Amino acid sequence: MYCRIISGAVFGMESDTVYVEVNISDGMPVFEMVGCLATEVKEAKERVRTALRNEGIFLPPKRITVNLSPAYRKKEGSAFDLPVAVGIMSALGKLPKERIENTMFIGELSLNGRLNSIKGVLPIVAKAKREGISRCIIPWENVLEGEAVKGVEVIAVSSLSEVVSFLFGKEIRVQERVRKDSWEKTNDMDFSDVRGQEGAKRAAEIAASGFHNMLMIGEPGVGKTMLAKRITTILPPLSAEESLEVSTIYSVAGLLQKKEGIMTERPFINPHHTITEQAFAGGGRIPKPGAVSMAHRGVLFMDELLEFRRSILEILRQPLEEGNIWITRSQGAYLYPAQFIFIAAMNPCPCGYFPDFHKCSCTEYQRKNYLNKLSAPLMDRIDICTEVHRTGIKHLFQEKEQGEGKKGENSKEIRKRVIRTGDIQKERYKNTEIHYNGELQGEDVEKYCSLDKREKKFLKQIMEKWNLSVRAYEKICKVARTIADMEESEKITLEHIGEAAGYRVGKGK
Amino acid sequence: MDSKGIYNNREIQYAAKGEPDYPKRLLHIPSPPKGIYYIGKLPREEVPSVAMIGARVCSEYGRMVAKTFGEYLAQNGIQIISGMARGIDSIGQKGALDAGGQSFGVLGSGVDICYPKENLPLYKQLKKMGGVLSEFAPKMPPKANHFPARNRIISGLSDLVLVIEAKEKSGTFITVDMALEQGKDVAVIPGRISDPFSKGCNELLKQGAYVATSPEDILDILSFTLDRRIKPYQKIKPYQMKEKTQYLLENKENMVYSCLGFYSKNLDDISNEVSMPVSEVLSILIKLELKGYIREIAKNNYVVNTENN
Repeated sequence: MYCRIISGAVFGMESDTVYVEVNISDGMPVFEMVGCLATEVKEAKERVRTALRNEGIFLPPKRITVNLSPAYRKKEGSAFDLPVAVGIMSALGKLPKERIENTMFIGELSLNGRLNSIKGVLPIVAKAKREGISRCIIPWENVLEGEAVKGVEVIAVSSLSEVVSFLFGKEIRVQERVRKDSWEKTNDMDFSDVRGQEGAKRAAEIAASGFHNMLMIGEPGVGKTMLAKRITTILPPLSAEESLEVSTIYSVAGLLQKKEGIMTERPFINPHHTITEQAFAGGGRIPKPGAVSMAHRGVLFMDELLEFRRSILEILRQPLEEGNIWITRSQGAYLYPAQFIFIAAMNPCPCGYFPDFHKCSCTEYQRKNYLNKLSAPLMDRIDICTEVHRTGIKHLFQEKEQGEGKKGENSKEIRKRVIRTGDIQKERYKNTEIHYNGELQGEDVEKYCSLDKREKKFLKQIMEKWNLSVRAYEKICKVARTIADMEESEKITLEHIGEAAGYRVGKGK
Repeated sequence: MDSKGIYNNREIQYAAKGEPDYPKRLLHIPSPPKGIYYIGKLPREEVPSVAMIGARVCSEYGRMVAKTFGEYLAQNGIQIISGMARGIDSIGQKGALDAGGQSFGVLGSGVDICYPKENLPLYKQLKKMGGVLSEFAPKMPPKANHFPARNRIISGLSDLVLVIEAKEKSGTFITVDMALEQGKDVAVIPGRISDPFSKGCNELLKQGAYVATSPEDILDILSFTLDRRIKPYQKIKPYQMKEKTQYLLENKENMVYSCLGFYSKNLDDISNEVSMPVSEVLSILIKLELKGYIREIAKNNYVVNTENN
């Protein structure tokens, strides 16, 4: 007796169909599993055998062969427990054949027959839909993920018995769904929490509007992290496509079931500077997305930039340049998405207090040495640099008054503007691969940020005064383009360029 | 042994103690050096000389005072002695040389080594127009323990030691102590009592140093200590300390410029004072920087620029 069950698996970030073939024939009693399987997949044998026994099904003394095809691809994870169990039951004639047709099964089995959650349900179900499979049976704990994919029937069950009941057409108990509150309510961070800091806030708004990378320089404790965290609150909401991308990443990382089933907020990732290369870039025996991928479509914030190891900063290069990262494993290489706004923070000098001469005890030499750790290629990728200083006491306490120390604009207001600026860019780049000004490189900068004669002359003066490179020129143009867009101005004026030049990244400053 | 030109570098000369070219002022200090290596000239015996010393990290105020005093004193024929160190030393010496005067740098290394590296232009200027001196043999690298010894020569070669700016704990005090040991007078530029850069100077005032609030004061003190009349060479009008020049600026630019001074201000503070949004202020600050009127001393922190006054 032969039976084939449809299942699926995630390979890197992509999902593919996997067929679980079960064949029961006469011969020496043995239970064999083949198909290029990792250890935990082979262990399915014991789990399935025991779970079936607890269902009242004893494996007959026959030759049972299970193959997971395609046989050349390495299978990992524990999601194949359910399809193997269902395959065996079907091959033994214990399940209605027509009910398992065109149905995908995934899930891990406990010894008592309970179905446990697995990683990657979202991309697997999404792939099933693309393949034309009409129904997916998934673990209950992954229900929100699964149901996020529209256009395919998703049955979430909590045990092998329920699967059997369902396949026999019986009603299964529908459990209470615990759904998290929507974004508006749980996210209590707001831009207006930051008092004063108009300069840094302006820089942050520009960064958000054009998706420019930003560096903040300031003494410890002034609010760099606070400000960085709130940048996600002024970024435009994820589009449906982006949401699916981000959700897939979190699903593969096994983090989606803890959330709403689909990611609606832009991620904010803040790795500590002791993070390992693997946790940062991604990888592991079973490839898992790293910090750079978890920040996809969101913000990657690296505080104390100079405390990170060189090797970690090197890893940043590909994401900053290409928007993705290669993870190579013995069986192949995977390309993970890693497109984010990079926000970095650092102190102005080793003690952190420059230029407050009352407090700063560093010599010129110490400062120069400290700043030398910034690699030029990394700095080249940062468009905006701003200072964050210590807020005056008066700012902290004045809440509602106008003028100095007034409570700043809230995220909602700023977000409206950022969205509007984003729309202008969408229109400009509509027939290209580019989404935001921050992504422009090389000749695209010339093309989309064209300057009139007077403005070009002004920028040339700036270049000469500060001995700027071509890269720096491009960056000022890009930032000026965003500033102009924020004012809904087609033309880039002298004022826009002047302001953009004020955000240039300079060594020693 | 021929004391002149025995090293591969033909520029370097040597004045041994006992020889006629050995600076006579050094004969009167406790433990005079055995000899002085030099490139260029040695300070002249009959011309008054002033040592201008101060902190390596100085404020805009100190920068301006060092330059002004260096210029004026040099124009009046005073020799300026210093250590060619970062900060006050080099600003004062450069001011003197640029004004066409004489300046001499005493190094804590061999005379063929330029330390610190960024003062190479000054080093070259000194070799050409004044002199670079050292007690240490050529090729000797700068070591921390050389500097106190070097400082005694700086004060030793001078008739008056002028401290421009010094923080509470400053290496400048070592030089001052040596000067006092050598029987030299010390003059000091006062500063604001709240300014950490002037704390050392003000402290010295309490201990009885001379006060100088204009370069002419230095001439007066010198004529008193040297017991002869030092007349200003040129009939220049009494010195006006120019903190800021009145530039012809547009209204908004003027507003921003007028709230800047010697003490740095950050973008937010400036923006609050002039009640203009940061975006506009930043653009104006760039324009002022391009014109050379202000300087950015740290990210988004600005002061008036006195270097081209």
